[in-house]
Amino acid sequence: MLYRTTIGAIASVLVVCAPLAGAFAFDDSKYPDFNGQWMRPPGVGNQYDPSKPKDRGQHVPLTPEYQARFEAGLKDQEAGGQGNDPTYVCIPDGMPRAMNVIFPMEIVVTPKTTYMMIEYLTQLRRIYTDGRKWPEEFEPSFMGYSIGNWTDPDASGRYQTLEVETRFLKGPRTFDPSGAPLADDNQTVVKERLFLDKSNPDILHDEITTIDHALTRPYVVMKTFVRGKDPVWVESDCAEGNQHLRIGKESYMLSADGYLMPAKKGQKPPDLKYFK
Amino acid sequence: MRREGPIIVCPGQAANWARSLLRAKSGLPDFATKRGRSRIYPTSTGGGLGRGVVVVPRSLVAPPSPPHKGAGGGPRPALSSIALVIAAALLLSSTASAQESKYPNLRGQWERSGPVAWDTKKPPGRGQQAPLNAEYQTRYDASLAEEAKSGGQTYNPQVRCVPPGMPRAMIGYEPIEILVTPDITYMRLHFMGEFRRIYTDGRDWPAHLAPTYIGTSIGHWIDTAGSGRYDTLEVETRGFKGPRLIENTGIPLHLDNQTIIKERIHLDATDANLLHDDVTLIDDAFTRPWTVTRDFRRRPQAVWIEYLCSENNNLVIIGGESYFVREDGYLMPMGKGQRPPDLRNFAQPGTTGRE
Repeated sequence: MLYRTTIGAIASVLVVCAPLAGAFAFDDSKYPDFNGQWMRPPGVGNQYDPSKPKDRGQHVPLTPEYQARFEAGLKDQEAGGQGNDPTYVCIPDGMPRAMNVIFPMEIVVTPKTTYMMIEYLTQLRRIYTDGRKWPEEFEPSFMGYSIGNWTDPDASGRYQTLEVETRFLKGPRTFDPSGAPLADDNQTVVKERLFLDKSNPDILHDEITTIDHALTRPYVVMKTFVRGKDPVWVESDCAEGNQHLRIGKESYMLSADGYLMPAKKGQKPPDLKYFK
Repeated sequence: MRREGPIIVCPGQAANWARSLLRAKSGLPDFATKRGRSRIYPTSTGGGLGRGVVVVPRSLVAPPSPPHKGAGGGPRPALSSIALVIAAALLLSSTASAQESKYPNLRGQWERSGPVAWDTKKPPGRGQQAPLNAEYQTRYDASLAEEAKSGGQTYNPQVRCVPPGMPRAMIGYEPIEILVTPDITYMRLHFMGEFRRIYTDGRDWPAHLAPTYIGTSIGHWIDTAGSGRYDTLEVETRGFKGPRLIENTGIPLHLDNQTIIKERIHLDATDANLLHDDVTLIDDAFTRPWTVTRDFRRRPQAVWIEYLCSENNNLVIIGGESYFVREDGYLMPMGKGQRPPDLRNFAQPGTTGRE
């Protein structure tokens, strides 16, 4: 008798629980713990592929046209210029370079959007996980438009991986400060798989595949981030104290006392033809 | 992997537990904790965020009794475990839904509903009647004169894409997104990409604050109406660097950067898509605290367009003077008769460039 009464009680609980469970839009036990501060591991520099040396050592699979552009940019940098890298005048990294995570980033997972707040230049990624389809067109941006899907590759009953695709990018963008360029047509597609390390939940992996017309093939890089235990956030203001200046196609510098000065040896001053 | 620590019981999982026990599975499932903390995520509703999760000490949940035959000859579930699951499910369901409804819905895209003047009820510029002391009124008058004379804005750090910081960030030149979590309310200010973290985790002010333009903000939620639900976020912001202005005509804040900003952020009592931010400025440039209310309206459909100050910014400041860079890449004066920049650092014929 008691058993039948108990069964009835359980049935009523199931009835009560089910709709309430459905009312909760976010069962966060379903999601991996991506929240918090993430940083480049110690010893990892600002290059795009952390497993390889910087500059030419990256062996970015560029087409001959873009390899030539890359070489020209490196030569300009060696002479004191900025080469292909536009960030010296505070143009943001954009994707995929933003995932170099020069300064830490914070991830906040919500049911419909995963936010990545990247401290460097206060860049923000919104990864929409609300099931939306790709818009036919969208205002291009350096960070692009990202749609993601949570997956459970091990059928564990819990999401483990966030798969992301990013489109609608603008430029100019490079992979890192060396200036390895992405194509001028900005038709880049960036695909990512983000997942926690199986043996250490304080390590986050981001497998990034870049598809771009400057490349001879899809370019796959694995980036790794470590979780910051006691997050400290530092304001990153590119414009503050920035002594770089661009006039036309030339980059100059400002001296400590605010006067224009050359960035390269023998550089000519700007043409002042509009001044009487 | 079975853990020996406390059990985290999730409402969505409680029904699964009950079903498992009815099938007389041995043991109780474990749910991973987040480094031992209980994870209670009250939601700001809308799409919903989280649901209540409660840590249940393992000692309160009886282990399953050894299986023994019931009337039908099959194993009988452990009744004490089932009863506890039922109680937990009921408790958690009510707890979770209560958590979710505790906070106002601040999700979405908020646009300023008034002009860019700081006090939207007054004309811009001198019409703002900013309560400046004599010294800072003089500074302000000089900025107004510069702009009137030459169109220059050397007083305005924003023309160099230095972020406005607080309080000016709350003018909301571009839309704002607000994300409420239990420990932090985030504000993404689309203009210049500024980012506010308002800590609501009960922390005290640290002994030392690294100064920033946006400041450090600590807030707490309050229930002013006694409704059992939070309706107002009270915030205090300190720890500034400068220079900062109130708005684009150049109303200055004190160079000592000892500003304190107090806010009360709340939805309108009759319109859930209207947000009020009552902002009080306390600053040594002022003769008294200055309070204004800034209003924001929620857009029904959020569309986020990237805003970049540095892109196509044609204004440059060289040697304390403002100049324009034309579309064709040449420097030009901003005002009639403006002298060109001093090129002393460039080599001229017969010089080394430093004479």
